[in-house]
Amino acid sequence: MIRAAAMIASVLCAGAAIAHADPKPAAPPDGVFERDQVEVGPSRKPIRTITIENALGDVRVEGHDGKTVQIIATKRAPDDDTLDRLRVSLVPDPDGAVKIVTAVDGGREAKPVARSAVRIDVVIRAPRDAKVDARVHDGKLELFNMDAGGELDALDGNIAVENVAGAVVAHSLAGDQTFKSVFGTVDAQAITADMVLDTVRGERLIASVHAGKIDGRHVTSRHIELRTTRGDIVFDGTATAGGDIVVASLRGDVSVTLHGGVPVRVHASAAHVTLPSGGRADEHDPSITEFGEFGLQSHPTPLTIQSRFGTVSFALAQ
Amino acid sequence: MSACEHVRAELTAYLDGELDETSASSLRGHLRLCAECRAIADEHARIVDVLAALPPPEPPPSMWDGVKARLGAAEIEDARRSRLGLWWQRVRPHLVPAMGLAAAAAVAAVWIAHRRASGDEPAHEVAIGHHEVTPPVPPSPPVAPSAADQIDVRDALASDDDHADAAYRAAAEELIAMAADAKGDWTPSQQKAFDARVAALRTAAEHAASGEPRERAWQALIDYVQRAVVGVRVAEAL
Amino acid sequence: MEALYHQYKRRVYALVYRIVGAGDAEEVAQDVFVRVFRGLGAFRGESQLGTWIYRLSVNAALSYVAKRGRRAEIPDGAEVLDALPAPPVAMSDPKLAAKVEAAMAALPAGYRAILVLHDIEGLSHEECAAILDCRVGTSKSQLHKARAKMRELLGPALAGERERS
Repeated sequence: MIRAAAMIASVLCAGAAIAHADPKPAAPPDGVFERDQVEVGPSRKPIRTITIENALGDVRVEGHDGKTVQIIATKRAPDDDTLDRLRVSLVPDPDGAVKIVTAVDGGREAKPVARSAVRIDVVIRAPRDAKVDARVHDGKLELFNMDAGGELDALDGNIAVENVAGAVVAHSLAGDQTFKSVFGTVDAQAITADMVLDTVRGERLIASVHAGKIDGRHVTSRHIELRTTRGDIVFDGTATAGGDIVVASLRGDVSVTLHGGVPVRVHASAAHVTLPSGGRADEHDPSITEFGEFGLQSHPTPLTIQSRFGTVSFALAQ
Repeated sequence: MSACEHVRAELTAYLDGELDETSASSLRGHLRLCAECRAIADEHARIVDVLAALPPPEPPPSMWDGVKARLGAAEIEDARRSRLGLWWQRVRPHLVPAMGLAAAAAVAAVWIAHRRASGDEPAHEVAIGHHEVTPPVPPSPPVAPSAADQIDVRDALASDDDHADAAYRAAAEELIAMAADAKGDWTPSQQKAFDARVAALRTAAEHAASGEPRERAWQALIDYVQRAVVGVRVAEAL
Repeated sequence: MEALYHQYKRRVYALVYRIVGAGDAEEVAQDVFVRVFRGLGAFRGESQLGTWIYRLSVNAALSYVAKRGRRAEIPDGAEVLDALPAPPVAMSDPKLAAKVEAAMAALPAGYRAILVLHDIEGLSHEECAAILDCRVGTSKSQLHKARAKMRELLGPALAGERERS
């Protein structure tokens, strides 16, 4: 692990951004904690990518208007010797990438310390146009106010994305994923967890969950694909002209509500299907029903809703 | 490996009584016949005997005083460090941003490690010395460990990849089994294309480096099979 | 606290002495005890206390050696002979003992550790593996290599012994 040269003393908070200091961490009931702060300035090139790997706690990345990256690490441990072993390493890269990695040091002499006894939580304030690659294990992973998307990975930790633009790719094993006010493309996959999407628009939204629910509202992306193996899907959004929507589950119940007046061509199949009245069945394929007036537009937006072993319902909101 | 090489490799185990009777007996037989190996065995035995008989060095009587002195010094350092740490928490928002950004020549990373204080700080410490300082939080008394607590954090972290791998693999296997059921609705060529693709993705996952690369491979396999299983795209050429 | 010190002082000192040498042994042993006392509060009984203390000792000694760098020279037999306490009557040849000590000092520190733990302190391979944080098989193979290396270093001395006896 490369450790940045430990120099000392004065470094600073860039003005207002840090002046409202972070809320003090809740005093641990026992043990000690330490908070370190570092500021990384851009060298020849602006900082374009921030990579963070933290298997020992939470990661939160927030955009700010400055050009620097501020890293605030809060470490917790049962005693000072163990605290000393908690490392946050900064790997500088002259090409404009900043990489942060956490670890627990210790040669063989170190006595065993339980995982639950130590923690490193990292808050990063970064230029808004930096791409973020972040990986956590059990901790929370949060991305706020960033404009260049990123890749987010969690094992059991939850992922929360809010007010983010760009291409967002998220994978979790058992962590819930929440996307709120995301503008761009979203590719999200969770294995055993729930997913919530609230106000997502852009070119593409692909969300898949193996065992868990997908709940989407105010979704207006062009190309939408929501899938679950086991778990219900509730989708409330707006179809776009020229786009397409696929909502499919193996065993879950699928419920779709569309707003706006875009005409849709609905292909619904399930053990039990509920459709609104006023549709026109396709003469060649009874599973296809069209809704809405076409007028000048000759191609309705295709909407596929299916569940092999569950129910499907579709509604048009006024 | 020649008989002599084999015997010489076993000597340590033999001399320490760790060989089973058959091997020990056969080794003894070889030693009876082979002067070279016998000489080497003798030398090994001598070394062990001498080591075992080495007189133990007696710790000097002054050693205990030294331990006490060092412990005392460590405790003083702790107290100073904790005070400094708490001071830093209070003072940070008020410090004038005089320094600006780090040096322009290279990406400069500067740690404020309040534990490693510079020469300036004692002066600051005096200036705000009137702030009350809460005593450092004492470490908790040991609590009865749970099973998870028995594992050192580094071992626990190292096994995270294995747990993730097992969980991803289980989901993939489950989906592949579900696909067997869905396949009945597909054409033979769709089935064949699907099987081939699944085999390729699975091989990729088995051979990927552990950690993130393997997770990505499982994720790709799961994505592909799930799409087929829920009927989004059935075995299209991708 | 003092009782604990007296209970373990010989073991810690002997271990450290054999790995770092006479000159630095006291300092390193003191360092070990400081770590023991400071770490005791959080020691949760995951292993035997003795094993844990041995482990601290071995690792403190090995780190110290690593930091210090290679020893500039191997003390010759006479020097080591003076530093040794009087050998028990059973020892047939104090000169050989001195040579063995000198040879140990010339071994890589890791080999010294296994020899001290297994052959001098008399611990089992299971105990050695717990202290050195390795597998039992590794402990056994390390011991074999360490003894072979000793034989190599002592070669002429042992041969001389052989001829005499």
